[in-house]
Amino acid sequence: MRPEHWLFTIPLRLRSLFRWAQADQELDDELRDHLERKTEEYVAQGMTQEEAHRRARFDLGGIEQTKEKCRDARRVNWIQDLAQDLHYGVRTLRKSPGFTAVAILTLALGIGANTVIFNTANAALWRTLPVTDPQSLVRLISVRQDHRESNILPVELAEELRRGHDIFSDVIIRDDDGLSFSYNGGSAERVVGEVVSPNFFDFLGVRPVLGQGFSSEARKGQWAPEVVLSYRFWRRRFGGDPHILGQTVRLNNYPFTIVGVSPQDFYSLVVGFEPELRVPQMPRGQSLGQSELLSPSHAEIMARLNPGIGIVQAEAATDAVCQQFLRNDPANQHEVNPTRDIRLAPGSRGWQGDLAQYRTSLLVLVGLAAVVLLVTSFNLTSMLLARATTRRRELAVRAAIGAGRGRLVRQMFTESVLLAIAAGAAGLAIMSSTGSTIRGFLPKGHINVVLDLSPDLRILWFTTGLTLLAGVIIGLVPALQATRNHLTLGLKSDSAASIGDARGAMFRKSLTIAQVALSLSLLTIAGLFARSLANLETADPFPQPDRVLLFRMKPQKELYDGERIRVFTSEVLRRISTLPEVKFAALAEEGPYGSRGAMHATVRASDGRTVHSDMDIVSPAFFAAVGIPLLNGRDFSAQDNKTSKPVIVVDENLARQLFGSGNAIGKVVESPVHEKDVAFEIIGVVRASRYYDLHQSPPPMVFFNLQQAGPYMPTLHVRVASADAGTVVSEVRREFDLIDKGVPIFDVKTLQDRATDELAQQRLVSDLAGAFGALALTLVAVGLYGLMAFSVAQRTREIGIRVALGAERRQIMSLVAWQGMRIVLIGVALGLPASFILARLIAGMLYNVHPDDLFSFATMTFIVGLVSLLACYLPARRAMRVDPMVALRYE
Amino acid sequence: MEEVLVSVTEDMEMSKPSDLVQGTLDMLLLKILALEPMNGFAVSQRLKQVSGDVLQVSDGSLYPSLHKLEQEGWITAEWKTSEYGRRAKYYSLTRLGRRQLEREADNWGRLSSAISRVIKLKEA
Repeated sequence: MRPEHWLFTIPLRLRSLFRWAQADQELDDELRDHLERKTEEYVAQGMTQEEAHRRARFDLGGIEQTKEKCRDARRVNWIQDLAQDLHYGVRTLRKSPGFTAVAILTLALGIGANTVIFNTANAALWRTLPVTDPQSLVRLISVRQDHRESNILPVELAEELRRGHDIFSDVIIRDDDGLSFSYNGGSAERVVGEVVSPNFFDFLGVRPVLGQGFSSEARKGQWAPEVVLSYRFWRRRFGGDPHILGQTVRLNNYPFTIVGVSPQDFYSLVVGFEPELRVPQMPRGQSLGQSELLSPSHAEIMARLNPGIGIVQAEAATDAVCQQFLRNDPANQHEVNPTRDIRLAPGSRGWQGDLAQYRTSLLVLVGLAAVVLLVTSFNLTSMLLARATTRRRELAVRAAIGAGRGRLVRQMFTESVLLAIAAGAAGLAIMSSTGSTIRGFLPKGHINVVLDLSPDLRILWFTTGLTLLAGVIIGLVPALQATRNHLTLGLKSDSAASIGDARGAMFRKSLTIAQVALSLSLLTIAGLFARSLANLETADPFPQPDRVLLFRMKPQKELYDGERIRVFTSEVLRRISTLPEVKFAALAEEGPYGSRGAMHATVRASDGRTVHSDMDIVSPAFFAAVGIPLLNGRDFSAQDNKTSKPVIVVDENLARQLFGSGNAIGKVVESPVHEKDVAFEIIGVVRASRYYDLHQSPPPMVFFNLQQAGPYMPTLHVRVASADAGTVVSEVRREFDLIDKGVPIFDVKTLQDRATDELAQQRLVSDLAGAFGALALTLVAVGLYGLMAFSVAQRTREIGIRVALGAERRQIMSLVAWQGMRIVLIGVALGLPASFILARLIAGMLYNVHPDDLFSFATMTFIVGLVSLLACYLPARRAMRVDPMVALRYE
Repeated sequence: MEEVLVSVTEDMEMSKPSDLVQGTLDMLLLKILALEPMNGFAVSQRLKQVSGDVLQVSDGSLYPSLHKLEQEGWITAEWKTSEYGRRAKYYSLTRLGRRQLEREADNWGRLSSAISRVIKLKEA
């Protein structure tokens, strides 16, 4: 059944469905009544009752047959009508291909923009996991002593819950960490591995696309070194080779067997995250020296509710079990911020992950995209209205032949819905091709954000609904407008405006005004975002960040003890510093814009004053490498090591907060390390910088010495002399290989890249808002041009008369142009207050830009005015050139 | 193919029936209902009567036609209880139907006078 058929017949079908039984019964009654009367007639003519009855039935020709014909009479009409409407609609659209093409294109852009944004928002925020029965999944949330919530819970709790407490049919845990991966003796590569309960895939109802997953022994509790690769890792690393099943890989140097590959549509239970591989959890009491990941003490827990148990019920029961467990668990008592209660939350979408911060931006973009669609719809309505006016004669003829008004409206409706359908299909095509563009906007931190952007059913429904809605909005008014009374006027060949015409023109004007107002609002918002982004980008605190290369490394602590790592890092620094292109080489645990997030510390002076600050752990020459000026005192040096006095460097903010304007050098402060207070001497003060977060003014900062604190997972920072990074990167890799093949380097980028990643969200919003704004402005210009051109064409005679009566060409031009600009002015007058209100709503997302930023508002108003003027200029020029002789004869 | 409308000569002899178009039947039904609201049986009786038994609509075509006219919105139906306590469906003409009837009557007038003119031409 074709979509338009459904659209039109839905109300009737609903009615007839309801009344179907009733209508059928009535039909039956009607025919039986007829038979009775016919029979009576024949009896009156002299036949016997029996004969009469038979004759009557014979005349009717079979009740069921007749009933069927009656039903057909009702149905066939609709089908015939609609087939005709469709045929006619397609023909009309084909007759004016230019108009049809422009209409479909503009609408497709509007629908496409909405679909892209909605798809991204869906993938990031609302998509349910591609697992069995996601509605019955719940996440366990730990409510800590300070009332903060966390996803991390003791692993034994999961076992306790699994041990048949009748709340849950099954329970799983998950945790992840970086691992060193190597295959066939090749050099080590860093991957992210996820440890899961052995029944993970069964729990979710996810079947591996290759292999069987963890073996049944592993699932029963007998651990084996098995690994399941993720689909994308399998494609990337092994080229999708099916023969890797059963092969051995080394994780942290320990051999594991590949037993499966996850299916393509399964990413993970954490939105935006995908580990390269999964390993099974070891049973309690067992552990593997090479990897602590396999026996986590704490993890995230997900469970599946038993059928018939509601989440509230389950929460109470789970909390009871948990309280019992916590009482008996010694480890929990010693925790800094222990768990007090358990809460359950729906798990159908999994855990949120890093994408949660995108929520506001995505919602703003959804709003902006909706505005774009409104502008395109209004534009199209206006165009269709214009066309309808020119088709008056045709419509009048058709009305005269016998088409009812409803029929005409339906026919025009069909056209607009056809346009919308074509545009919707094109919009979907647009969406499919933008997948990689959107991915380009997502940050590439130390764990890449991975999104499944393939459209799901919800997107299809959304687009279809949007398309139909657009079709209705666009088509309704022109259809009603065009088929109003006074149709007979259309038959007379008179170009004088009728009453209906004037109303149509007014409506078009108001549509254009609305478009101008909406576009102005959109553009000002885009302008504000653009300014905010520019501010953030230029406010880069570090000089020449494209000359600072970063290399991350993680010597697996199961394989490298503290001393070995110290030796390793010293060797790295020594060798890299001597490379020709290298000006400075240093290590830092996080480094600027570290993607693991800011580390915090507390520093207390001898007079009791305490400061909560951010912190990092760095090696000598770090400040020089990154470009943080040393204001006072000295930098860390090789003399500061494990055996010498503990020293720290602070930034000027911290120094000021603790010591005012006094000298901080040489002062001794205390800071807790592993729950014990340690005394540190301040040896240097550096300039404050927006170290971790570009968006706010920086909190105070303290730097600890790497050799003294002990490196864990440091990042190598290398400042190079020239901009040619390529050679230095390969040289550094070679050095690492020479020192120790077992420590993989990953995530190689420049400081500039990291800064850009920090601004990924802002860039997404700013760029898209700008694109939308430009699109809307173009549409307004096109719409305005069309309106003006049409108006000029309609008024050709009037213009001719004016010219003949002595009006100057220039006066005509300004008359027409002023008519257009008046519309624009009203639109701007409406749009500016709207922009002010909207700007206030997004004020929280702006950096260093006041929501009343006059510059942005003025610029955008100017741009809108300029473009509109251009759009009015061309038709005005045409009006100017009207030849009165031709015009007066024009009909 | 079933005859929709049968034109019968006066002596009830079933001479060769001339099929009249569906549209004509619609027009006739509308006209009958324009006289007064009535049920289906009465419509066919009245048509037969006023045409002097010339125009008789077959029962098998009557009701599908009436339902189609109702679908188009030209007639509307109502269930009424007659004086004998008998329930029957009464059709009546709508405003739209009246307009349709006028249109069709006009067309028919033009058509039939055109045909008459041709037929009445003097042969050489």
